[in-house]
Amino acid sequence: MKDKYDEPIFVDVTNGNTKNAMAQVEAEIRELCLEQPFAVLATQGEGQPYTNLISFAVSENLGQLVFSTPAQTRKYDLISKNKKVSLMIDNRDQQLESINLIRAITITGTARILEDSREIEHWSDLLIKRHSYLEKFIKSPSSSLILVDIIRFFYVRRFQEVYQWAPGRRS
Amino acid sequence: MGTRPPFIVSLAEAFDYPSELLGNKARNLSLCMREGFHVPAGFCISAESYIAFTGHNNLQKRINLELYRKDFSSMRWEEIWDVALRIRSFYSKGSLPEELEKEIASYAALYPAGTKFAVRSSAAAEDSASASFAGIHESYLNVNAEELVEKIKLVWASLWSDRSLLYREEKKLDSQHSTMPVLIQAMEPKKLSGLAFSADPSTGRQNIIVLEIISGSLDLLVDNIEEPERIKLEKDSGKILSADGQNTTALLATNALEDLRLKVLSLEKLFGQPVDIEWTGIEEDFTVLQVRPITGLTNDTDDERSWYLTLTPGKESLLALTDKVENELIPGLIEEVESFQAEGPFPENNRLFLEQLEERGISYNRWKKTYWDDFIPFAHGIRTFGTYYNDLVKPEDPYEFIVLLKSDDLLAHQRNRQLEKLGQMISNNSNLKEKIEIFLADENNISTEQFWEIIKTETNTGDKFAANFVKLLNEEMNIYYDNVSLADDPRTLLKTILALADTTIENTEHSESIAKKQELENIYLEKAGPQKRDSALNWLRIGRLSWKLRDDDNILLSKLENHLYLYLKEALNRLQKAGLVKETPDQINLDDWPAVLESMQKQKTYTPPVTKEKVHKEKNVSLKPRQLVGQPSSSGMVTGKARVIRSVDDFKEVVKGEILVFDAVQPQMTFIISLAAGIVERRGGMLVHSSIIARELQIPAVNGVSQATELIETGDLLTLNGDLGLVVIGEPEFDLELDKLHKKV
Repeated sequence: MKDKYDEPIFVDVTNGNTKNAMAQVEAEIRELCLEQPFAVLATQGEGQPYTNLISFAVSENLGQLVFSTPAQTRKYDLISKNKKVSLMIDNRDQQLESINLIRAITITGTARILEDSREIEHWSDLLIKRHSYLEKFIKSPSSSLILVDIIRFFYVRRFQEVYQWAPGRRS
Repeated sequence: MGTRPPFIVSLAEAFDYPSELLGNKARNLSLCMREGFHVPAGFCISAESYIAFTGHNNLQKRINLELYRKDFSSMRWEEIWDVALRIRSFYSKGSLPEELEKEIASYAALYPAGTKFAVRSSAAAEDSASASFAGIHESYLNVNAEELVEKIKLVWASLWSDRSLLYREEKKLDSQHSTMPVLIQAMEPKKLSGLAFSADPSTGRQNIIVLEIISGSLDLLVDNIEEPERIKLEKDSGKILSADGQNTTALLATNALEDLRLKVLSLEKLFGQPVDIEWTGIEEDFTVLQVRPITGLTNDTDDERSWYLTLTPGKESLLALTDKVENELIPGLIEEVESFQAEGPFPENNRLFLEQLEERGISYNRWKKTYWDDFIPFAHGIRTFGTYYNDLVKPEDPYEFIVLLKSDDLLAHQRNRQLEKLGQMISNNSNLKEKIEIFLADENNISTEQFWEIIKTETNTGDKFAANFVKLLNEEMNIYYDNVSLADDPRTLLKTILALADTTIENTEHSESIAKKQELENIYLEKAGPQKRDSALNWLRIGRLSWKLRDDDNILLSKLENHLYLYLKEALNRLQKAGLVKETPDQINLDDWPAVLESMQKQKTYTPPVTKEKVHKEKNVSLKPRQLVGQPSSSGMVTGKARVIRSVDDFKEVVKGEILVFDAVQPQMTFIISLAAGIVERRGGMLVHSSIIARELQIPAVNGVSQATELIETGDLLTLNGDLGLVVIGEPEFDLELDKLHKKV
């Protein structure tokens, strides 16, 4: 327990804490994206923001996010006119006791409606794997798959600690 | 009363309730009462009361906000203490639900006027066979009826004291759902008191009874104020195996001893396992104060617990330590530093040189030990004073007491004032300033000696400046820091002084702050009243001394280190000349002095220890922190460029107005902070050096930022929020310009 007394005069403090913080942050973002089944989707039209709750899945490299929607919905309509979207994924329902334990991700990205049959097959498989009970809904001819290319993650933990990550920047 | 569990249960009935509600201490005593043992009458404030109080004041959420602000494992003791102090202040200022307060008053009214009470924790996890909390939580003795509520709140708060938090963390006990029943009993002073163990706690032998007996009340023994008489008995026969103590005549007569043995046996039988008993009074007066199963027999929890207990030295040990530090240690340290200083240049004679090297090495080892054994525990004088102040004054800001501690005569302040003077000499003399600038800009062509010649001959006040500068360098900068002697490099100091020429260091007390200090001192003494005045003045003295020592010991010790460092450097030179060291190591390890000494004595090859190479981690450029959270240690907002200080080399680069990012600020280097617009530090705490200096300079500071020097780079744009403890890194990048970038991939 003497490590709690890291008075620097006799202790090498700089080598004490070498855990890679950023790797930890990345792992937490991944965990939240893979664990949480639902996200809030924000779209916009004529200057009016609009939000929905959606069931989603993410690609292994966290570069893309997919969800399904019937074509007659307002969100489908808004996305077909303006591809810029934002999403929020969080664990607030599991952390009622302390605000410091809540983790939340805000995603910004661009959405497109999938039309290529091979792409549709690939992404619907992923989404069904995550939400098997939605298979009928996802496979319905009236539903469309929307793929979001993720540009940034804004990750918040411990109430006010914020990280940003643009996974596309990784070569 | 509906279905909720009772707020208060009388001790006589406590055994009928679960230990979750009343704790084991109360239940065990209730059982003794039921079996005919005398136990002082009392009542138990149940866990339900605790829950009602925390709910009434919305404490759990406030506690969580404090406690989970950062990863507990990366908190330092001072940060844990800060958390505990804030939580204690929530409790102390909280109010009881009216119904509960009335109920406590009606129970207390059952006792005769003037009754003194003992208020003790009876936490649910306490005194079970698996973990002992003895001494971890607070208890108060001789409490008047009108003070009961106040003390109950403080016992509750001790569930969140730093030692309790650390202990539970270590034992992996749940903090989140802990509750704290409190036991209140009438005090029954008797002539003799003591402890009794129905097995030997040190060996685990179960056929032995160990007794500790003292004349007077039990707290004298528990708080280690008086040495007890110790007796070991054979359990079955009562034969005395050993007896020792201060008194020549035994405190207990033979028949009283036999009576005590039988009572211990029947209590052990009642609990079905070896027990540890606190008692007072003998024979027909025998009174049980506490019984619990002995935990130390199966594991070493007691040893671990005792370490946590050293975190808060008791009043007596702190007083003794104060004397020792003030009258013995600090003068001794100063004397040692001065005597080394007086010895002059290295002796040419090897034998004499080695004698002096060894002397410095031994001195280094001795003072390093003193640092851990005495100086660090003594630093707790600040917190003990702080707690005392807060209990007395109940200020809105639990750190208000710091104002009273500020002092002008810290060694670091004296040094900084000299720096300021030199800075003024430069700003009053443009010729001198120009010459210094040329020297610093042009490192290769002018030697330091030539430079001083120029200064002395070509400028007006140059000779005075040179004399003062050299004096400062030799007397104040002869300190060891980050593997260099600061006196070795006059350029760093000169550069700082030059930068200071256009600024003023505000480390001297303003008249405003002197007035504030006086005002608070008056309020403090007024609250203490005539009765507590002496004790209040004494705690203030200890607080101030502890405050000054925290700063001064670092400086004095690094001067001592400096002497060893210089000798080791010289020793390595001599070894190299003799061909006994392949190459001079780039870092000199002070702790390796015996090996250097031995190599020289025996003229054998010296192999320096392998120094850890600092790994430069590859940065993931796409993932970066945007806002880091620390502790708001000095208020205000500021935006500026970051300067990450990783070694002394970085000092030279500091430009006025930068935000300095440190791993840990030490008094040796605080002069550099005079140039800063703000401070970020990994090491956290409201009482660490950077917090103190930042508040005095009135610049924003955030500390306790985990991995600050790893996550922030020199040149990053930082915005400090010293009111909320936030560090924002970079410009707000929100636009989706990254469309482009995304396509590239």
